[in-house]
Amino acid sequence: MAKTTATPNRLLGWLPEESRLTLLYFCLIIVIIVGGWEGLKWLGQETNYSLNLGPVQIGLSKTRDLTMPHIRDIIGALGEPAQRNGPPLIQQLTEAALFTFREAFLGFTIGTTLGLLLAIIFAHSRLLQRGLLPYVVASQTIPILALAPMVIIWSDKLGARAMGVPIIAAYLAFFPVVIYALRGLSDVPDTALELMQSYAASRWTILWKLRMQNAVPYIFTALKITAPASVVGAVIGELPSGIQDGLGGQIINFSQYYVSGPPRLWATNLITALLGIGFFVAVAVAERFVVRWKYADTIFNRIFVDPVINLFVGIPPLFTSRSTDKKKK
Amino acid sequence: MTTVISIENLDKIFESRDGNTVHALKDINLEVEQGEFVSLIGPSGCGKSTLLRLIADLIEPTSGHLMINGLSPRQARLHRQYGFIFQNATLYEWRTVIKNVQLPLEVMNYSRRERDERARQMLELVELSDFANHYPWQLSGGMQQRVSIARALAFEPNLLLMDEPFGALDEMTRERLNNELLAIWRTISSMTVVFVTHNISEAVYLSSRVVVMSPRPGQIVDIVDIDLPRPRTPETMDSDHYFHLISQVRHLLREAH
Amino acid sequence: MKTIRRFVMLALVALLILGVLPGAVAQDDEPVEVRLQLKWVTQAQFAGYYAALQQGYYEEEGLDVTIIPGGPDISPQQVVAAGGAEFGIDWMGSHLAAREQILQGDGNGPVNIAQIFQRSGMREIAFADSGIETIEDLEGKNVGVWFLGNELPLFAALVANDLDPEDPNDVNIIAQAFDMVAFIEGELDAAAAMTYNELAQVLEFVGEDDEFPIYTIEDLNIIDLNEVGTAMLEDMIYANEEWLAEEGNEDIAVRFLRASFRGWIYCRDNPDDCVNYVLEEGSALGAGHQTWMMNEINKLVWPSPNGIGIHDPELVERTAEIALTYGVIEEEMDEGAWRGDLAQQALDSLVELYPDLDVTGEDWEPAEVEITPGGE
Repeated sequence: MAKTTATPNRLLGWLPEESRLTLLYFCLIIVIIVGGWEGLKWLGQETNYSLNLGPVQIGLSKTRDLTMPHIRDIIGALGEPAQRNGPPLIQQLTEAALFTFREAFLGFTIGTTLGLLLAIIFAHSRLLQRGLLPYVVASQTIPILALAPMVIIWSDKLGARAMGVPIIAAYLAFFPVVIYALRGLSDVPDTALELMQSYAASRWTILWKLRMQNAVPYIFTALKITAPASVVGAVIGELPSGIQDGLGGQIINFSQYYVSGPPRLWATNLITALLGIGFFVAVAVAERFVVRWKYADTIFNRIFVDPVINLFVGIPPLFTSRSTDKKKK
Repeated sequence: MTTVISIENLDKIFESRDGNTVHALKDINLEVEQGEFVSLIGPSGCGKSTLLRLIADLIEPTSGHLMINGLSPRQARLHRQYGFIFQNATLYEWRTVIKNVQLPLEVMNYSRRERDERARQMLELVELSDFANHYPWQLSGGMQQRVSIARALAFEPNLLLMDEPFGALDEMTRERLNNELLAIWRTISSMTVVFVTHNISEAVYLSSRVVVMSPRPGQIVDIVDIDLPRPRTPETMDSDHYFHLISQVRHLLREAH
Repeated sequence: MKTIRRFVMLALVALLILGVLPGAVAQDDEPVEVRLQLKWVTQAQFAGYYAALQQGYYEEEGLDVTIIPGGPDISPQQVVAAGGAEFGIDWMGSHLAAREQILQGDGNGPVNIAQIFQRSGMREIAFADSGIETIEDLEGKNVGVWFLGNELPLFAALVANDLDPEDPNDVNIIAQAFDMVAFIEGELDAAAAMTYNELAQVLEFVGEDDEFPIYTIEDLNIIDLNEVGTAMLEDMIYANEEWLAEEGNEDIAVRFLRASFRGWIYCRDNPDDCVNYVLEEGSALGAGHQTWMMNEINKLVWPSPNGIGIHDPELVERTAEIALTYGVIEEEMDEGAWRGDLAQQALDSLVELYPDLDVTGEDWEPAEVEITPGGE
């Protein structure tokens, strides 16, 4: 591949050009966000500037430390204990994040399994699909905040208190899986299906060797939506269940005592976001290994390069077209 | 000589949702003997692909009689008596080349060892052994179609149904594949081939008989015996008789319009 | 043969007896599992219950108590009504509202069985330089309140001073968030604040470049709604009517109250221990803030003129009256909304068991707690 960039970067030379570009953009966006944030604060502090957007007037004095702490303070808050003689906030939040991740992962697993089962049923019975799919859609219009307390109380009554939060996470997680998996199971080319018919293949064989395989990339797209959503579900679920060990509990606490330490709430939000992104990246890495045919490349790239890009660059492009893959070869 | 396909008074009428009917095939009568290479040729809409699909039991006839090796098309399909090759290679993109060739063997519960052995044999036959572990998108269109031929032959059907298999390929590739196909057919002499095409020279070059069809409703106009000597080679295409046969088929097609 | 068979039978019977009897005996000794649903997340506001747990008071009463913290979106009344907990902590106003709703829905209502906080911790605060010193001064000002029933004490006080809370020309009522940002930013001239929480947060506020303190208690004017005479009762323990009616449950309730009372007495006498219990449960809480809260909570509980947990009928009536006036409840409070007998029983037996125990806290003096930056 021809090197067109003017700066031959030795440090990152082993990365494909495309990835180096992604890394560059990623850093650029961080600079823009940090610069924008601090710039807005500076404007608000140095002047009494007020933004006039038609009927909306935004006083930039809102950008004081109370409402918008300095980014260095947010990062700094992670290093300091939130409680006298306690562990640094980052440790406390990491423990909370692990706790929430366990709930989210359980919910993710339950939701994915349920979503797949529903999709398989719907793909095989037009009648059930017509009858039930509207309810699946309707289920997503019920605000999770309204549903969460009920789920918590029910699961408690059923003696499965610990399952309340994962169920809420699963509730958010199963929907994209149903929709995408159904699409993947049904979106099989006619000839691919006729090929199976010509072999007199059973329904089960067609499901397993054709429909499911065809659905795998679709399902991964759903899982990439589902992974962060299940983190959100777990955090929301923690609120009405009185669970204080997770990020939800930390968020309640730091928002209640917001005035006492604004950077702590922001730091908690940051960690929550990182958890969601981390989960997303983990799914994306898994995808590289499972959907091998799409990213077919050397084993070296699959093990070292792609995950490195994923982990440090974060989000790989959601929709890689086949044509760019071909070019890579 | 045993009859592989026997078709009597076959009719196929498609009914669309708005109630319109299309008479796709009308009063088709055809017998194909074992070891024959029969081409179905005609303009688009003449029902040649429909006829192939009826033989394959991918669709059902409206009326008439159709037997494959003395069985109904359904039974023949359930007994896995034919291999089908589509216009696009219809490879499963998530399978490597060799895994694609093994697909029918997996569905038909061949042992792992036999699957492996046969697939390698077939890839050798189509000269793609070096690409066994490639994924389909890494192959050219012509190579993909060769894989699909290897796949169709893997379980040794005695009837090969081909639906415009080389229609989407460039002329050079098509010619090469025609020769390869003939070579393969020669090694499995008992195999019967029904080949759908809209390319006259291809039909003449490959076939022992060419069935010329006309559209609306699809009917058989005439059947031309191709008595060119075998084995056929690129030199065959230079012979006067070859040109004569081509113009004969062309005239029939023109009249049928 | 016969003897062998008899021997086997005997052995089986012996096994059965041995196997079943210890179980039967143990059943009486096994602690009763009960759950307590808090109104909010773990904090010193609920220290007495954590102390009773940590000090083993519940265990002594044969109770295995699980304390379930609350949070936003959680209605303790709903949890107890649904059988998710046997006891709950709530404010009297929302208790009355929930009871009326549950009774109308044919359910069995919650009953206030012990009034832990004898006085209200709710204040309306303003900066000293605003000139707001009394309710009257709120005229024409931006006044923050928490809604969902928490606005009533202030509304009652405004009406008593001829100010209509519904009329923005009289006073501009603004729904206040659960933090004090709007007050510190000057968007509110006065804001609702609990002595044990939001008030301290204002004092704990750290300014730009770690400047501290920004505000001291002298910088604030504090309007005490207890003095105005429109305060409503706050933290109390309630249980379900139907549950109480089941045989043996009243006894469980008395045992629960007795242990809880001891917990509160312990926290009065050992506030630092109680702060630690709370901090152990809530890792994110600031120690300085919780120390302040513990002291302020003690002020709400102590002194308890008639003994801890005993209702002051006059204050109960006043709370109900305000709730009725402002439509929190539609009908007058019914007799079943509260009962004092269980608390009295618990208190009497406590005095009997520990004659030296001070259950009224007449001579108790609050501590002076230092404000720490950020409440750490």
